[in-house]
Amino acid sequence: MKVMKIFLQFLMFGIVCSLFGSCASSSWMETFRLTRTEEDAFTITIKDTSFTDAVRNEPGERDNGIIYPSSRTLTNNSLTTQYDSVVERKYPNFVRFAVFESVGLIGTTSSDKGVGSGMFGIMGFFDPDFATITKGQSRSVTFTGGIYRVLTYETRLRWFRDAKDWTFGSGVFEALVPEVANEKTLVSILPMYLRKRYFLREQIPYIAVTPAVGIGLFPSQYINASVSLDVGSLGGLNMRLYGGYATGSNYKGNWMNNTAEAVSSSFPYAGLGISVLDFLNRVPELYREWKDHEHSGWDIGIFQFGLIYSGEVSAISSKNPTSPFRGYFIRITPTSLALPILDNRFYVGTSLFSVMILGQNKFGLGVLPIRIGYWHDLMDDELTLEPFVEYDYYPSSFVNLGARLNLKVSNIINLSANLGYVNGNSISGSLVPPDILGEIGKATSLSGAYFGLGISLDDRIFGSKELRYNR
Amino acid sequence: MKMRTIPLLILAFLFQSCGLLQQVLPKPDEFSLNQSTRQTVVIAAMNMSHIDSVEEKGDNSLLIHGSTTVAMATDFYTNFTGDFTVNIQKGTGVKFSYRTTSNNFKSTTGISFNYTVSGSWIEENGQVIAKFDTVNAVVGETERIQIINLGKQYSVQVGCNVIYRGTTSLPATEYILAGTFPESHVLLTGMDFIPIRRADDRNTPEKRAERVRW
Repeated sequence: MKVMKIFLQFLMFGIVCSLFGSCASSSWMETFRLTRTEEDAFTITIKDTSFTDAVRNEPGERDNGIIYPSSRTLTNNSLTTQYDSVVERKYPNFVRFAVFESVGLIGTTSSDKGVGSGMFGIMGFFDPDFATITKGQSRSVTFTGGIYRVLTYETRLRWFRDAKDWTFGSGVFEALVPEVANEKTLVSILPMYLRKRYFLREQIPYIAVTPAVGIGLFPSQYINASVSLDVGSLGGLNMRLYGGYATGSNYKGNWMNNTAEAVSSSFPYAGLGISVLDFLNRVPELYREWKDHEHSGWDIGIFQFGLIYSGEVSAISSKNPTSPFRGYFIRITPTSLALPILDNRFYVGTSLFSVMILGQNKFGLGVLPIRIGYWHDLMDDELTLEPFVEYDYYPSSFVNLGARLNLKVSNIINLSANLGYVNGNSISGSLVPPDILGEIGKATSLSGAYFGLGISLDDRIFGSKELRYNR
Repeated sequence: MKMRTIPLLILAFLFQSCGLLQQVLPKPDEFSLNQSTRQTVVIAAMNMSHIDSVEEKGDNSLLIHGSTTVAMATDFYTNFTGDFTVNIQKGTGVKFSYRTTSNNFKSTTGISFNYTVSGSWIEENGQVIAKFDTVNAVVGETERIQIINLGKQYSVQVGCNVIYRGTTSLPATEYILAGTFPESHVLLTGMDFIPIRRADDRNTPEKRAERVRW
């Protein structure tokens, strides 16, 4: 499906931008101007004896009395030694910033024409009938459409005499997918949105009702009005219940429309969505320095990667099947949320995508897996040990029991040593495009121990003192 | 990916990274004074109270309602002369605070010159250090107030008279904050921050130490 290709390109673009941004600056938050920096300059005078005094009388005779100062200029100068001190303070510069959001929609079209996006809009990506209609076969999908947004940004809109919680926002990419037919899909780069939040809960995790109206201009032209019930953000994770209506058109020959004429597309929708690396700040938090912000997770990042050794034939290079590195693992947007029990060290985590490749014909893929672990500081917050068990239930079904030793290099880069055992079922190879699988091969089962060395980029490990439960 | 999509991606990236949104959206609590007056430096002013409590009457004029604080600063000029033409239209008067900053501002920090209808006084960190019973504001009448910050020294001039010349160990800052007393309406016009010395972020002890080559 064409829109999914474009969407994946934009998602990769967002991740690459974030990763490159972090190389160029100290944080990807600064790359996107998500940080507002305030500076105050102070001048400290160590030594100052300079003094100038002047009394100047107007010329002419006056009755000045007996005691009257005569005109004079008294100047006493000495060196002044001054130091300056510049204090920087950094604040969040956004109400909301989200790397990725997807929503699984129902009611956009009939169940036989629906795209089959699955729960949250991503839990159907690897189903056989996802975005595919085979002639002669009956088809019925629950989630008929989806909404996908990459790099969404909202800033405070201070209008109507500074009315509360209005925002104006945009994003790099948005797709509203009502059905399989490409020409019905509404896609825009830089869509513009007005939102107003009514907070039902003003503590983390926030709960808000958010009416929104937005327009997309290119390549589709559309209006999208919606109301959502938002829960989050908690470690960058959010869930949203949507209801709305979108109407627009694709002109002849644009990205989505290969037909001979313009195609209009209007559809109501309701849906359930999830977003990752999606951070929400209320107005008072915009005036709280970053260093004082509360954090809910032990670890939040964009990308974790590791090369692993296992007893399998190498999936990395067919020319060297006994290479020390037989496979690799990838986690996209990993998040580990601290649980407020037992010293807050137990956590529950997930990631948008998780890939585990032990070797040729031994691989597993996970979408929003569930990970439970224990966070143990070995050396302050610099060296941490993280035993965990991860259950990947879709599209593969396997359990990953492991331990991870993290070395915090900086706020955005970590190194890790990983040891674990994986057991379960792989997905049918036919559901993954062959050009993605490559030398990995096709597998039905996944089992084996592994040892791996990894690197995490744009991945921040938080210290125990930074957790909001410990403040 | 087709070639024609690349410029769009670049455009999207620039849009996200240039902070354009913040530049164009309204900020009702911020003002830039002296923008059209080429002879003087631009003063950045921020209303630290309710947004309706300050009216921008012109490029160089603010009407401040009661119990309101407006922070004014220029970029990095810590030694300067702050020049104000003050007209108390109603109420008690106005307090000028300096050697302090808008961040975590309290009226008891720094040095403040209180100019009221019942006399004037100077406080340092909340302690009264000088009183001037004969320097009174008159409701409806205009008076010029100059506050000079230079090194450890500072002076306050009302009209043509330097009413106080003092020294302090408090560091000099970029700010003068004007805070009105309750129920007062104060019109500030002709505001000017005349630079004497600009702070230099290379002149910090750390940066100076880094430049030393052993």
